[in-house]
Amino acid sequence: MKLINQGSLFWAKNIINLHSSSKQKKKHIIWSVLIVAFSVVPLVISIILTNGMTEGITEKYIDLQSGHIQIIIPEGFSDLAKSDLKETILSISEVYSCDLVDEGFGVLYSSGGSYSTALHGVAENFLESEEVYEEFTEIVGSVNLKNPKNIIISSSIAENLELSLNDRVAIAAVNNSSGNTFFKPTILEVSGIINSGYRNLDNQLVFFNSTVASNLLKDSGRQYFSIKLTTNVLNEVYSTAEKINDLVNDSSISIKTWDMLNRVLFRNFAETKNILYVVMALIIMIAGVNVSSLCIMLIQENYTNIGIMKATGAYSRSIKQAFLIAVMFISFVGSIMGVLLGLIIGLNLNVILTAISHTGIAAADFYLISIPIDIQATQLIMVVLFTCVISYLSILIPLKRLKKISIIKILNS
Amino acid sequence: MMNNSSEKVFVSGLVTAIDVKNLTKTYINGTENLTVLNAVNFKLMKGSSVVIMGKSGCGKSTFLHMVGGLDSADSGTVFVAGHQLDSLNSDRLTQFRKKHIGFIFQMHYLLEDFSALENLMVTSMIQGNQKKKAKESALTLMNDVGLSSKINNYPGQLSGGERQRVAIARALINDPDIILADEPTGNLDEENSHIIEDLLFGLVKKYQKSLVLVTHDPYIANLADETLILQKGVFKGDV
Repeated sequence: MKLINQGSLFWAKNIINLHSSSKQKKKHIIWSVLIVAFSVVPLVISIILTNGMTEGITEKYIDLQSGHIQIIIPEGFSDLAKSDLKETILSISEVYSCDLVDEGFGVLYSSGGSYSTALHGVAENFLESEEVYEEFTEIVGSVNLKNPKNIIISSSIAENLELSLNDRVAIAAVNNSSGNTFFKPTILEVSGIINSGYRNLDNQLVFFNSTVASNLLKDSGRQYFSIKLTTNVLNEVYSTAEKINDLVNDSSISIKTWDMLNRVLFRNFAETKNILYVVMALIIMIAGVNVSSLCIMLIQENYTNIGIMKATGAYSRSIKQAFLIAVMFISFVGSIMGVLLGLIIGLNLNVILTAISHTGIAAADFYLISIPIDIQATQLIMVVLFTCVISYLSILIPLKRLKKISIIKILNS
Repeated sequence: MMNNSSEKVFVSGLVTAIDVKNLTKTYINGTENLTVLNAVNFKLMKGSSVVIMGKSGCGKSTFLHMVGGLDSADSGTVFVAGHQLDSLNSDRLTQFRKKHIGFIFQMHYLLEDFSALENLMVTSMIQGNQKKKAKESALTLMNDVGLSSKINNYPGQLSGGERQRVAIARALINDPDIILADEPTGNLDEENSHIIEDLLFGLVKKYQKSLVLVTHDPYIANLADETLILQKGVFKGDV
C-alpha cells in the first residue's frame, strides 16, 4: 500500500499554488509561512547562543582555571615525586600539557579598596602558552611572570581596586604555620592586566609566580597538576583520567575531571538551556495554532471541491492527505526559512551582542564578549522536525472535520 | 418492459444495473411531512438509458442521490451493480461510488485552480491511479468531448457548454458502470443543451454505460431508451 496517494499530492500542490490562489488565501499562506519562520528563529538563535556560550565558557574555564583534569597533590609529596608524576602524565598521548598550580583564597588590597578572590601561583610562562594566551580578549602589559614580584590580574579586578599597570598591590592569605591563624601580606606589582571576555571568570583571575605562591599559599591553598588534553570530548576526558589513575596507581592522589570541578556552573548552564528551549518550544506551539487556522481556512475554501471529490469516489483519507501535505509543506518551508534566518542572525551574534553591550545593558556582562559559533546540523534538523510535528498535531482536529462534510448539503446549497 | 405504474424495467442486456424496491423518502419541513418518493420501484438493465422528468422539487434529484449512494432512504432497498446500498458503511459507499458511479451535476463543479486536463487527472489519481494512466485517460476523454485543444484551459477560460463537457469527461474518467446526470444542461441555452445531450448519449453508447438522467428538457426524451415522469412520489409512465 502506498503511503502517499499521487492524487492527494497533485491536489495538495494546487491547494498551495500561490499563482492560482485568491488574494486572501495567498495572504494567509504567506502569513502562515512567516509566522512559522519567525517562531523558529528564536529557537535557532537560542541553540547557537547556548551552544556557543557553553563551549566558550567551558574552554575558558579549562584553559584558564581547571584544566581538563586535575591531579590534587597530597601534602608531603616531594619535588622529585612531583617531577616523576609529571613525566608519567606527559607520557600519555592524549595529554597536551601538565602544569603545576598553587591555588588558594586570599584578599587583594590597594588604595582603591580590597577584593577577595581565588589566587593562582603558576609557572612563569604559564599564561604565555598558546591555549591559555588565546583565551584573552585583551592584554595590557605582559603575561610573563619571570619576575616573582609581578602579579597579573583581570581588568574587572583592576577596575574594582582602581589599579593600573605598575601599581602595587598587597596580597594576603591565611597562614597558620605557628598554630595561630593570621594574614600574611605580600606586596606585588601589577605587570599585566588581562581580560578573558567573560566577567564571571574574570572575577577569579589573579596569577603570580609559583615561588611566591608556594610560601603565600603554603598553609591555606592546595597544589595540583592542571592537565590539558588534545580533546574536549567528555568521554575521552574520562577515559584519559582512568588511564592516568591506572598509571599513577596511588590512592592518596585524587583525580578530578573538569565537569566534576565545575559541576554547579555547568548544571546551571544546562538548566538555563532547558528553560530557554522550553520557552522557545512554547512559541512554536503558539505558531501551531496559526497553522491550524490556516488548515481550517483551506478546508473552507475547498468545501465544494471536497464534496465533489467525495461524490466521485475519493476516500476521506485521500482528501485528508491532500490537506495534510499542503499544510505540512507550508510548515516545512516556514521552518526551513526560520532556520536559515536564525543561522544568519546566529552567525552575526557577536556583532549583535557587542552592539547590545554598548547600550549598557547589564545582562551583557554575563555573556562572553566573543561567542564561538557552534552550529550542529542535528539540532537544526530536530528544530525542523519538532516544528513539523507541532504543525501535524495542530491540524489533526481540523482534518477530522473533513469526514463530516455532507455531499448532499453541498449539492443542495 | 413496464410492469406497473410504479415499477419500470428497462432491458438492454441480461444484467441488472439498478434495482430499486419500495423506496420511500420523506422530508420534514417544520410541522409538514413531504413525501417525495413513495414506495418507488425501478429497474435499469446494464447499458440502458432512462430519462426522469418532473416538476421542480418532485424528488428527481433525491432519487438520483439515493441511487448514487449520496443519500439514504427512509425505507425500501436500492441495489446498484449488485450492492445493497443501505448495508454499506461510509468507506464501502465511497468504494462503491469510485467503482460504479459517475456523476454529472447541473453545476459543473470543476476545481477552479486546475486546468481542464488536471480536473480529470486529479479525479482519477485521488482514487489511486498512476499519473501516467490518469493523463492518458484524461487526454482520450478530452478528445472524446471535443476539447483536445483546450486541455490547459482553466474552468474560468471555458464557456458554460465547454465546462459541462469537461464535467462529462470527468464522470467517465474512472470508467464507472453507471452515469447519473442531474440536469446537466440546466444552465445552458437550448443550442448548447442539445450539443451536450447528444454528446452525453453518444459517449454513453460508445463506452456502454448505463445512464439515469434527470432533466426538464423534452428533447432528451428522444435520445433515451425510456422516459419516466416522477409525480407525487411515484413514476407515472412514458411521456
